[in-house]
Amino acid sequence: MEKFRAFAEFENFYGQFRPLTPYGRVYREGRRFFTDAAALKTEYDLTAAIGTLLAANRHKADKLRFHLRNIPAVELSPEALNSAAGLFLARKFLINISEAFKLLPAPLRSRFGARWATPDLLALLNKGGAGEAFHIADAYDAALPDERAAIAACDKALKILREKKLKSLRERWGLDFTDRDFLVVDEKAAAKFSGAQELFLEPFDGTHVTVKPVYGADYMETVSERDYLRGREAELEAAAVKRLAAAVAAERKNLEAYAGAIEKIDVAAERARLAAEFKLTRPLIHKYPSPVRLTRARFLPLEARLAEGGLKYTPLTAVFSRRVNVIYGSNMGGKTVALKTLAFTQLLAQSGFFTPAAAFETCLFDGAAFIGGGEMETAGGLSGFGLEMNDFVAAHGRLKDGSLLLIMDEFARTTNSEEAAALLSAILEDLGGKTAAVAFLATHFSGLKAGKTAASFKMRGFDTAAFNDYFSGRAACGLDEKLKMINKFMRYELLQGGEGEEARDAIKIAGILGVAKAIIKRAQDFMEDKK
Amino acid sequence: MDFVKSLRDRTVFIVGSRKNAGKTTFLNYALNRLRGGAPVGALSVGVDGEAQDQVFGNPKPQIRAERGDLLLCAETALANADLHYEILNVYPFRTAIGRPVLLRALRPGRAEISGPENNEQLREILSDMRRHGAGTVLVDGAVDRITQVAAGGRAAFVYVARVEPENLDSSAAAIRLIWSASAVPLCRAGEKLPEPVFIIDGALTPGRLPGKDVKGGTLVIEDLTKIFLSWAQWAELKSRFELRFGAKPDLAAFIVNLCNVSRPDFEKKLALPALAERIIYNPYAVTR
Repeated sequence: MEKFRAFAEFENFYGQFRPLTPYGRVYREGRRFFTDAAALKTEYDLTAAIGTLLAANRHKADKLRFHLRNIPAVELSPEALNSAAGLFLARKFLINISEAFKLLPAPLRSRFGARWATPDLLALLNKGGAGEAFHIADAYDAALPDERAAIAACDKALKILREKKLKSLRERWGLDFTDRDFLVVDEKAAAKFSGAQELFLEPFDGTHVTVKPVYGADYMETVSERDYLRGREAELEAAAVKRLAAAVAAERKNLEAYAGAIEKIDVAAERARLAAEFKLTRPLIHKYPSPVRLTRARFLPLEARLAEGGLKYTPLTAVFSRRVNVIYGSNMGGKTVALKTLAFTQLLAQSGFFTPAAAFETCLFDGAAFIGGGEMETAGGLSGFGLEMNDFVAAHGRLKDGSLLLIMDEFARTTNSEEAAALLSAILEDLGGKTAAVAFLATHFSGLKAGKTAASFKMRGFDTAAFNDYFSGRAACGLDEKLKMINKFMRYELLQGGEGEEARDAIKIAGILGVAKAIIKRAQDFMEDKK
Repeated sequence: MDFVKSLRDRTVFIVGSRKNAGKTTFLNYALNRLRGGAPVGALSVGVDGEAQDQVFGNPKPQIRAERGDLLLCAETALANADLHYEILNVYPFRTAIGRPVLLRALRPGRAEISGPENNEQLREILSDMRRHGAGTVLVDGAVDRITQVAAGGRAAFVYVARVEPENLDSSAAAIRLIWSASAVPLCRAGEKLPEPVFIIDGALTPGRLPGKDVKGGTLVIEDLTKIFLSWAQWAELKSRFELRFGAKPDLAAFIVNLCNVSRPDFEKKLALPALAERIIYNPYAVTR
């Protein structure tokens, strides 16, 4: 499947699928491939429903995104909940879940399984919160207000004692401790402090001492009292945290249900966002096997690349009624792009997304495999040809496990054309007899014997008349210009038929790409001679 | 002008020459001086490992918070904090000492500040602190985290050094290098620079210097935290190239804590009178 995804440049799109909650992000990592039509229908229904709601109300869409973004991952283990931080997260989770649920109308909430059932728990946690903040509030224990009032009284007393002491040190010794806990004083100058009960001296370096105030017994007694009160307060806080953690844990099932619902909302909202951004439409899924129909399907990665280069993109329209399909065409004629468009669209559909096409009708496959590109690879001592054969054997073996979408691009191109054509013909014939296989094969070999069960297609190819009309003596310069020229006159359209026809654009393309005119002329002569 | 007041409403990274240079002590001092306007914020971008600031013997990196201060603490450190606080955020990123927690002190107390592990997290936390009303944010940096200065955009930094007889030469050289580097201009868009232009991505180490045969042209360095050269190598580089930085935090001050080194001896080592004027010597010293 990874090779199939890579061929379809699926990550190019999937990288833009960015759910906002930690739950949605976990779902994303699963890279789910739907093989169950009912489950996929549910995903499509949810995407469509939330998409309609959010498209009609921009403000609501922004609010939903805000709350989704603010939902934290909540750990529901006793250890994780048994702290102020754990409770903060539980409250933040509940607040944002509750607000997100409220934004959806009741029927839609019900479809997402979003049932708000814990108002009491949120009210309890809200006693410690204002806005985003949360603390162990006085309300959580009847004894806390008194303890805290006593601590505040100590703080006030300590402040008065400290200020009084610092004033006295300033007046008596000329030492200003404002903003400082200590001072560094020259040892000689500090000699006069020796014996002063209200100052503590210790060496700083060979010539200086550190001087700190000694606040006195009443100050230290107040500090001790405060420490005692703080200890009591900490005990009361710990007990309150324990009670609150137990209250949250008691609602574990509801919280888990919220997480499940919010994952669905998040994923559906993000799919709907992508559908709006890339003008995606809902695919129509039929029972296997069914014809695959693409109407103005767009291979988004290429569309974007061409747009950057100012080049025209031609969407793909095709109907594949048979299980085995062969696409013929010349170099740079768009065969591979046609296969990529099909693979990309099918992957999006089976990953729960709407698809970039005016219409896309297909069926679900239990798996997908890609074979091709072998000339670029070598592994385990196998040549490119060897790798392709190895991949084919593996894919062929999968046919017994269920239906398989098999895409083969220029299979066996690296071997001699005669043997390659023979091998391809045999494979196509074999696949025609396997009801679990739906195969698409692009090749520039002509005259394959694909059998009666296979359908043949050809890329329309280079529009020589239009090219001659336009070109008439103009010299193309630079690769960009040449590519633009090919793009301009290559008709990336898929036509039915084409079996046995040879592709005749290669010499023209070579000419555009700068091969010397004399060579091109000679090649054309050779072609004439052959005829 | 009182340089501490000039730090108000900025993000200030307090970086040190080495461990126990006195950064946390300075941070507490600066916090005291900067309260009174918008809430102050404090966090640390690295824990040195010592329990005490060995310059002045203070516990570290505990800071003394006042009501309203915004602090970043590790979840595990909160259990022992002498602080009543409200939590403003708990970040999902894990550090060795638990998740970072942003809190607001509800009464005075002491707390151990902590920090994130990378610049992206730091940016998120700083932005969160501002959203919660922080004016000045002080970032206590460990010796090997000076690179964090670069994360703060228009941030300022204070360089704290503890100078002793055994590190007198190296401390003076380090301060001279930072001073010299802080005068290198920022590379501006569209600026016509002498050719050839060498762009150094990441650390500028002796091994990455253009060969001695290359003379003239411009060297663009990411920021001054990426310079890992000796003073002599830096001086040689400056004589050969126009230098520019891709990003440049403002140098707010040098805080120098002298231990068994006299000020004249230290300034003699610096040998740069203009730099000597920029140094703030031990802000806790009684000079009268």
